[in-house]
Amino acid sequence: MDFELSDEQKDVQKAAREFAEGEFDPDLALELDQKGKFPESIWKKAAQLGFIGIHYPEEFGGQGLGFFENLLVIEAFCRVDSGIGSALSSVDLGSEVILVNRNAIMYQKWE
Amino acid sequence: MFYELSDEQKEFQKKVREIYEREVSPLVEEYESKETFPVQLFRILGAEHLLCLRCPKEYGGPGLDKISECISMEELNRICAGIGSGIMVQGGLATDPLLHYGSEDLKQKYLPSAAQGEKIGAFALTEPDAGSDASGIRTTAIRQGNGYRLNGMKTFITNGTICDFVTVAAYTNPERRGTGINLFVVNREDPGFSVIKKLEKLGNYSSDTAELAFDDCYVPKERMIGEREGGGLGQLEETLKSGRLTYGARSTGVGQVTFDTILSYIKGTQRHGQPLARSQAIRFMMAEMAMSLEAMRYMTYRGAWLFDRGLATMKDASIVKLFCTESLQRIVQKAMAIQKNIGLMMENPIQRFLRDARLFKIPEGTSEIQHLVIARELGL
Repeated sequence: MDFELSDEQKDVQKAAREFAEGEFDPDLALELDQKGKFPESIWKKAAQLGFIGIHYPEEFGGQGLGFFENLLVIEAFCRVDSGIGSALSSVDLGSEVILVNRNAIMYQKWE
Repeated sequence: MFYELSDEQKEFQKKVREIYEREVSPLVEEYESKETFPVQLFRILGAEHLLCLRCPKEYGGPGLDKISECISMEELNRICAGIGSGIMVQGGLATDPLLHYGSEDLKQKYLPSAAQGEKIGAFALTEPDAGSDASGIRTTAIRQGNGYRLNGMKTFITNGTICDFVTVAAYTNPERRGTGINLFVVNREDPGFSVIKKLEKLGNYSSDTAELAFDDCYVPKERMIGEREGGGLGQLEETLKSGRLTYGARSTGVGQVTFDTILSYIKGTQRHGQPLARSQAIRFMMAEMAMSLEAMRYMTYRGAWLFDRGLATMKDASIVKLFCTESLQRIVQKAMAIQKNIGLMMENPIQRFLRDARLFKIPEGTSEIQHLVIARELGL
């Protein structure tokens, strides 16, 4: 048993926290929430920095980390703003289905 | 992070499960109904190195860690919480203060025989008028010649009628409320020590509980734990932390056996011409029970893991005890709700699990005290 985060996991957590605290502007968050809009610019930045699909293999553009690290990112994001955090954590759901079933025919089609 | 038991720990779990099923299971019915502790178990489990698990090899113990102790306690309480109670005290409250603060002589004299089950230990802090407020005890230990004379009464003492020695808290300086307390080791044969009566309880029938008296009981100063007068309550800090974590393991054990019992009942039962398992109400209750058990187990073993690294705070330990003992109440209540009249019958085990579970909310800090401890450590 080992209940401690590894150094790499601590780094991921710290980076995700810093990103959320720096980028999730409270006024913007409120505006997005009221208008029901997707945080497009933040999403793109998060993707560029590797937070989106962090658990995807590198060959598919991810960071090759675990689902655990993905959870650390989601927790850190939602701690700052649950609306933006939820939006960013669900953008990869569709592609995750393809990833999980990548040996099936779907994969061939979307490759 | 790595949440799984290591291969070595799994092997240990398998071993203790086999031993408890072989040695303890056949005794449960008889000793629960007699309301006595099967004292022969001390020798048997001593020979298997399952008493005093954290006691180092140099003092006759196996020198294992808190995680191992929790594994052992979960498995033992899965079989019988009453018997689990007596065994827990032996390796916890009765011997922990000795292990941490006792002189070399005291350790050599008491620990190997406790670890091997040759001597049974008890721990006496609670009094008729002082439980949660430990500093309110009235037992005194007044210096006389080369020792101390103890006077006072202790109650709700596990292993009280069967013990060979008892670790007792008493005021060496009654003027210094809270800080003037010391712990002493009293032998059964010491003149002035007596068992007033055996107590009957709601749960943990097979554990032995008693009221004790110390009437001008003389104890040589070598049997005081620690060298200086005062500070005895502070010596209990680590012991209480450890004990509260053990309650996480005990609760998980009783919760698991309750869950297993009720699951097999559901699978084998039809009501109104339908399998019970098809009822949505039953499925909801089982899902809740399964969820609680998972959380209890992870929380307990994380607490033990922290303890083994010297990182566990009293807040961690109190959170484990409070969460696990309270979650257990909901598990046993649901099991009773599912089994209904059958669960109430003394011939079936659910009533025992419910009684045993209720008891867990009280010793080593009631649920109410745990709330206060947690809040205090939050800086409130």
